[in-house]
Amino acid sequence: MVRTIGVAGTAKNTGKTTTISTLLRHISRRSNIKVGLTSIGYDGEEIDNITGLVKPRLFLKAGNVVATASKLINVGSAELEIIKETQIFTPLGNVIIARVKKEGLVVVAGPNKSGELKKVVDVMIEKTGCDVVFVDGALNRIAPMAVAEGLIIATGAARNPDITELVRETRHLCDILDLNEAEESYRKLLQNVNTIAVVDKRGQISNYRYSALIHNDMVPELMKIITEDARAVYIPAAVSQPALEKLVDIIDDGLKDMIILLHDPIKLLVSASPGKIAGTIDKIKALKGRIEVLKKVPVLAVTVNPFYPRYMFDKNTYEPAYIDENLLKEEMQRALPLPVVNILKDGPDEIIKILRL
Amino acid sequence: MTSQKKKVLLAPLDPVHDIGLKMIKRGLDLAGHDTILLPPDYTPEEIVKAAIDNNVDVILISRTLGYRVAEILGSFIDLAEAAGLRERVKIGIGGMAIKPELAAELGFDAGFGPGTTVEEAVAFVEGRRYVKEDKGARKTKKDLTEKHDYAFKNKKIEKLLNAIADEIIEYAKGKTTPGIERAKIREKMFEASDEAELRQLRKEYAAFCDDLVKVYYEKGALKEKTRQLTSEELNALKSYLEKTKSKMKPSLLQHTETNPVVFIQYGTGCPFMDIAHIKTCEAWGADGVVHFDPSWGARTEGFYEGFITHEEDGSVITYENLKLIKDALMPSTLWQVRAHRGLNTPETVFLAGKVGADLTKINIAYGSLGGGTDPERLAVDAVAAIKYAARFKLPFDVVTNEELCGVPAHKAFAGMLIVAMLGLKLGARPILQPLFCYSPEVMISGQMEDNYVDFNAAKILALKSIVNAPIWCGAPIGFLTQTEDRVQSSLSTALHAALASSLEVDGISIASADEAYSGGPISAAARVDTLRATQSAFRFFGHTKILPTEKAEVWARKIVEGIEQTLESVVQNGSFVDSLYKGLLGSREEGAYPGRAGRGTVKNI
Repeated sequence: MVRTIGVAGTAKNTGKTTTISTLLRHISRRSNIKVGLTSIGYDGEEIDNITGLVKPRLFLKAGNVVATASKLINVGSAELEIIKETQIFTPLGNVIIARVKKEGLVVVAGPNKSGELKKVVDVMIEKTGCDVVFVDGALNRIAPMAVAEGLIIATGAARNPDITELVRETRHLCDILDLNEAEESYRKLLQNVNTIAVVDKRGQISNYRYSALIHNDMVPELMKIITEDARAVYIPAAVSQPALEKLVDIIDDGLKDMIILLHDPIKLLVSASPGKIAGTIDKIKALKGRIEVLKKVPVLAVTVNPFYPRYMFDKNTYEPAYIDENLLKEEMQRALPLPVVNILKDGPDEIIKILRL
Repeated sequence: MTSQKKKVLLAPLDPVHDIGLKMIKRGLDLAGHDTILLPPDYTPEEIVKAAIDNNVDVILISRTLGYRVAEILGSFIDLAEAAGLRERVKIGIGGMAIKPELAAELGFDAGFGPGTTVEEAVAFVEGRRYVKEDKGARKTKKDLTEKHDYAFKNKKIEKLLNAIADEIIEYAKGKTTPGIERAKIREKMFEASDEAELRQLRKEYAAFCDDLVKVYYEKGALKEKTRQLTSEELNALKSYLEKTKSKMKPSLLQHTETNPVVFIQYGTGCPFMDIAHIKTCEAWGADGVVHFDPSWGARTEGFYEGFITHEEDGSVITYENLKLIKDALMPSTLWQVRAHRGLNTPETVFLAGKVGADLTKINIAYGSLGGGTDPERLAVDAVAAIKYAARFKLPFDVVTNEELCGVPAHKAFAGMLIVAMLGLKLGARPILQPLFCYSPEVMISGQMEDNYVDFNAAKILALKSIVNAPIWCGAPIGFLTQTEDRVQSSLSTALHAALASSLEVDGISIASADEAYSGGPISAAARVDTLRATQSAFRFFGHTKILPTEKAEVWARKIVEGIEQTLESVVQNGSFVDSLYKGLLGSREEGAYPGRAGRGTVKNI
């Protein structure tokens, strides 16, 4: 059973909280699973902080566990009993891990960095006995989700109301998240390497001072340590698509004997659209190179949301709008080898089955 | 510098705006930290690379929020995280639309919105807990009368007032009314030692009441549309108050020490709703609140008991209702219970004093010429009421609302000064409450054709030339200058507030932005409108004076002359009460009609 499930969105209002809220409702009705809940953003509030539109609420039954900022402990209708006060700071106070004493609504803003998220999730599972922990995403942010054992991707019209483009982009996104895991020898060799490293055919490592490759200017200096003997280039932190593209262009034919290794696929997703990144991956493959990751973040399902907040320029406000929900689901399902769910229409059964809850 | 030196990268993730960052940079430099300010319009990648290259401890980003910007900021944070910066570098975001909730959603370590001080940003950099100066928490209860010794500068007027006030005191001697008797019985009720005595006192009390109230004491029946609050409602109020009080962080309206204290008026009919309005206004900076009772209550002999809600305007006066409200107030909030115009004046002042109000309101001239109560009755009642005010040390204002009926300011002021002198003689502390309004007098005579400043200023100049007494402009200021347009209404209130402040008065009462035209209950949001507008006006003008034209002085002199003539006519007439009937302090032609409620109820003891 996957125990840490991140729900990441491609944009605001793509249905992250709706997905979690529906799953929570279902689980609280039908099973005795102890659920943990946290968020890398701010969720459960009545009105959206940015669009001013009504938001889905988060309901927890008694016995469940929540990790949220201290200022939000008394904001919802649920009565919470503090289990642990962490030293993890957020703009809304330290993160508190609390047991739901009396069921009700909660407002959640938990740890927003992957290291801190991991610590909190570990406490929720190991110390408070949660069977499963849901991590609600925020906006289009995905970086802290590298901690999750499985991801549900929430996308929809709020990301792009053009179905064809949205489907293409989601396909690219899932492909990137599904990059192959590197072979065991590389994983062992590189597990404690924190800077960009070049591995030669003898297994020797040369280091570059940066851990991330996020600017074109970094590439020429990196090239100085990429010799003919190089077999792998490992980038442990973020990789920007233009810098990667430049690297690929310079190495060119040399790629056919080389692997570009990343720590996890999310490190590639933070600086460009999935379409552009997919283009660079295609280029690597065309040059007979490989791009692989040390740690996969498996995508469990994709939820689609036909809703989007339409910006009214004349009033400087947003209003609710919708695209064709059937067409959206059909096209998405045709393009992906994963379960595609319109959570509001289809309900949570399919996802519950995948999660084996 | 008290903390370790930090290296701070300041980056406007914005095409142009970096003023806030420049201010923070200066503060950080002064505090001894190393700062690097990037030019505007760097990409997130460039900012992150600069942070890595310079090995910084903190990044401060500024950004004006707009369409899709949240996603851009989210991406920046993701990039910083994926680049491995988040574990060792703190990242803060500042901008006009930033709130802590939004900063949390965007994934930043701190959010700095409007009103952020440089000190707050420096504290974040240094990892210190920043305790924001809470001006509201320093609020203390003001005494409107403390700066005034009631010394008369106009000796002629002082002499005339002395004569009239002495005559009133003499007139009231040996007289009583049902209102006075009820107040005495009410006082005994508080001292009653057992239920039997209380029952007997209630019986005696009911004998002095109108039928509408009598049936309550006989059968427990209340006036239609009036009912007791249920225990569920009272419990809900308790829990509402607990929650609200724990969250209160009141604003301060005043910018300078000369800005007047600001009162709002409430009287929704429901004590619970009143309290919600009061808490809203306290939170937005109101210094005082004024209790409005229903108009039928002023014309009905006797009070009910219990926690009573009333489905129409005006909140019913009972000890229990007043206690509910008193217990809800912040310690610094001034609370006035009005007693100025009706048949329950002595008992109202007694209850106000007993429950712990700070102020009350009594005016024989207005109450009997514009408020509907018989002049003789109110004169006798007012003497008793003022004695209660003196006993409970309750300053009382003397409002000149008869101006709204059409009585010229000088006559209304003469009536006000008479009651003020009566108050002084009886040991109380009166407050003069002239109106800041577009009155029928000026509509007809044209004193406000050019501006609203001169005639209002003339009133204050006139009063200040007569006596050193506290002045509280009412009620609400700008009355009849406000329209249904909430912006116009708020602005008009704010400008009148600024004028009152410029004239260095002690207090003002303000309306909500929808008060005159609400066509029903006043909305809390509209209260915030005028409180914020008044706050902005105080901030804008500071110690700056508004300069009236020379007409203000001319009209001030005319008002003083008119007051003198009016007082002389009252002295010549020999009886203050008779002068009210005769129209010397406001005639029927001017719109003043001696009231009839309670006529014939004054008895010689």
